[in-house]
Amino acid sequence: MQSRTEQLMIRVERLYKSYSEPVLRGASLRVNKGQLVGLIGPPASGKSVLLRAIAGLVDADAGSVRVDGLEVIGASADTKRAVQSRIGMLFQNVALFDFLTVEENVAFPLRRMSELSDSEIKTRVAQELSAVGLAGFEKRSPSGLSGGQKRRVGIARAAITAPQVLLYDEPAAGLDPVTTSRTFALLEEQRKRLGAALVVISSDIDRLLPVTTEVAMLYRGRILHQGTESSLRALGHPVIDQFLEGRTDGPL
Amino acid sequence: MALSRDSVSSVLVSIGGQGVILLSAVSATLRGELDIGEFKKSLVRLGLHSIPVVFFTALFVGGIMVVQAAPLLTRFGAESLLGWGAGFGILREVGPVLTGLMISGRVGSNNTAELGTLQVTDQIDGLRALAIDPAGYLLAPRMLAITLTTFFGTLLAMAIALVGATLTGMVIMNVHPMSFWNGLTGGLLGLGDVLHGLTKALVFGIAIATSSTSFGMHASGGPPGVGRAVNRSVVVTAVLIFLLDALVSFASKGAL
Repeated sequence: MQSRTEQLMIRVERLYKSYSEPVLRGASLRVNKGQLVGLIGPPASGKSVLLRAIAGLVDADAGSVRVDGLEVIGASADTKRAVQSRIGMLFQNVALFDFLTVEENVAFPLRRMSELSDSEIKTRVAQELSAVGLAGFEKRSPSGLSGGQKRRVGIARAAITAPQVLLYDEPAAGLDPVTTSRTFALLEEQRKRLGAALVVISSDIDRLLPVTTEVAMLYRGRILHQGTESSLRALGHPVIDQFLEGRTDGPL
Repeated sequence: MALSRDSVSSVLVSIGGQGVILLSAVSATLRGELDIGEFKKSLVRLGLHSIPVVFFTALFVGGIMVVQAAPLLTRFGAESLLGWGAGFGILREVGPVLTGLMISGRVGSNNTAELGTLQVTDQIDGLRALAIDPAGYLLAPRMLAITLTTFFGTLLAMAIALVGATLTGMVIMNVHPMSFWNGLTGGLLGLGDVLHGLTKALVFGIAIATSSTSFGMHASGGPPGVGRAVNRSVVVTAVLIFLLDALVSFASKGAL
């Protein structure tokens, strides 16, 4: 049986990052292989910055980020690339390459990182697009897709290389309730199928929480608590309670 | 005072940013990370598609130079100097500067807009998140293509402008093409003048590539930010072209 440390895929320790104002103030997070951690918190609490720091896209001021044992903060470009090759990421505004078709977008990581033949890549892309409900969209341009369709293409692109770490920033933003439920079901399926470590930011916590194995609440740049949904609710923290219940009265 | 400090700081940051962009592109190229497919695409899109605009601009400017010089040359009966005069201006000055400005306006602004859009829509970070270094995939191919486009575009512009000058001289001054050619090759002009113009073309090409790429990569603030970046890129590149033109002219005084 593997120990907890051996399964640890993401370890963020006391991470600090400031722009004009402090954004992260000692945030810490742990995500094991096969876990889906929901990262929740009020707007501007630093969720997206934390996700970008894990992906090596933000140079933190202090602290440590380890992905699969590799330190990201202050790492060389080669080490960062080694880390990034283990990660699939969906950005808040999706960031599909608008100079490529849907098929080329999804195939892009495979073409750059694998030795697969064209036909194998085509098959994998078709499978991934089918998994997100976009079979037949291969030749479309991203500019001709709806917001929800773009997000699903982004999810397909993030998962196409079967990475060990998946980072999703608002995968269900702007989606209707049915598509939102399907999207979260897809993320849960990815966790089981790939055995990956997932960190998912979503403001739709009612649909996010049921698929998470743990939840981390970020508030003013710090993780207030990381644990199961029930442990979060049992904590009795006024900020957490108000956020989960969606009340207007309280410290938030 | 605070404003002037901010302005100086902004200029220094801009120069530093351009230096970093140039170094990262050169370094990626030397490491063999330049994406050949993207380079070919950039060369076609930025280079080949610029030929018509360079062709027609150079043709008319060559003609206009003769139209402007014609009254004076006719008055002093110096029509035989037409080839030398037109050649001197075109090879050393008008060819490279005109091409530089045209490439900056057409290709440089396009490059800034594209890179700026990729930057503000997170597509550059999207590349990084896929472990792809934008320097090798985006910057180096575009910068090399722009530099080559400016260099060979200048060579083309020089030739076409001379054709324009020859044709105009023949039509409005009755200067025979052979007489024009003799003035051009009679000994007053030489390979040094061509090299002088091509040195400028190379320097301008690097400046256009670096400046337009840097402004695009540092764009921020959504679509309005991209617009501002394009505007700054065109203005700064035009100023750079004239500044570098003066510097190369002074530096090569006597040498070329």
